Amino acid sequence: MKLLRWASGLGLLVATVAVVVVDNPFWLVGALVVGFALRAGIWRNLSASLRSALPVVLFAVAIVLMQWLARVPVTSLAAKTLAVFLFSTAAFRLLPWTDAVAATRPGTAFHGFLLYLLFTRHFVNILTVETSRILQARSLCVVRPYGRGAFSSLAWGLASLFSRSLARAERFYAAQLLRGFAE
Amino acid sequence: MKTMLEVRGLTFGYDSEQPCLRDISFSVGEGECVGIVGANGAGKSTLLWCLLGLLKAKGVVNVLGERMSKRNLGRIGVVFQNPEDQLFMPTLMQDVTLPLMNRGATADAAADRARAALRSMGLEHLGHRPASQLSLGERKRASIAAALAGSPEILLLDEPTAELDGRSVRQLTRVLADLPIARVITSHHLDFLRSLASRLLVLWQGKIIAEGPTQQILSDAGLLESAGLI
Repeated sequence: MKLLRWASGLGLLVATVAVVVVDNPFWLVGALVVGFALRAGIWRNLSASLRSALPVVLFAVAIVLMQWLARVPVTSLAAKTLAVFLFSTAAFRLLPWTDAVAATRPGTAFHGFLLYLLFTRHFVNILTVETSRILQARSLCVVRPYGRGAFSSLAWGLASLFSRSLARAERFYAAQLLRGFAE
Repeated sequence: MKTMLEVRGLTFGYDSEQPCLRDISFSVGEGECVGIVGANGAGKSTLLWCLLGLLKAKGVVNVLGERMSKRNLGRIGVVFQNPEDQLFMPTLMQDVTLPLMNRGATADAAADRARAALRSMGLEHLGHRPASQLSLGERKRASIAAALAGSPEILLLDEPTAELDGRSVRQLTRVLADLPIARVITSHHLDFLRSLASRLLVLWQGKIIAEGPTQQILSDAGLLESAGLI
């Protein structure tokens, strides 16, 4: 099972590189279809998996809009961005890389890279929790979505996310420094 | 008694005009448990960060007679207020073994020490689970296990009882009371410190305003009130 996960994960990483290189629109559309199918298949909750892809979909749409507004040719950049996101996150899910951290030798570049991935994942989780707390706190005081202060509270909430994240990042860094990871 | 930790004239301020720690001096002996007690904002956590060299302060911090530096950080175990700052691996066992292996221990030796540390905290059966799936009390004890696995000579704990329920506080008190090493605990939980610390330092607005045996300090209602503790 683990071998299969390694094989399919590495295959997806190769596919991630391939979608960057390929420019054929049919291949790109095919890659997007496969990417979304993978996301729906690998994530247990279909609607949550598609919802979590929404920011990247919006980012891709924004790229197309900006190219169109600037009257430059609309390139395949948006489709590639989306495909890279879909394949790399699926690979991230499939590869049993967290097991590899304990199996690799500390001090090697690969071990360092895996630790970096773990730190990043941990910090993304922290950011997600902090964001949901801010939005929850805001929803308690902003009842009307377009009422007075609805947008400014969102802006202030997002601004406070930076200071909160910075404080958490500092504490996390200090803790890992003391555990010997930055020696 | 051998001096494990010695602090002399420690002064620190984010703003040089207004230091938030002023002329802090104290020492901790072998096997001793010292409580640093103070109201919110008194400077307890800042003091710990200065002791560890995470914030650059004026003054002297000696660990077993040597100046505090990155070299002797391994002699100190630290437990942060929020366990999420320390535990991030896929399983608790990996969280405890990884720093040991990172410092050069073999996988087998690290696993043995990790198991022993988790057992001492009553968590051996949870070694295969990620920290995120444990209760806060278990996560706190897991952080202590991770700190103890490195065989520190001094253990620093920052607000260990924060957000814990009564039962978890009692469990934590039991495991900390049994430790033979020097311990420095910052807290404003007076009952917790009463059952653990032999000596208390009272911090108020960045200064140590009183120091003495726990019973003596905790029976001085006027002092506790002026320090914002009751």
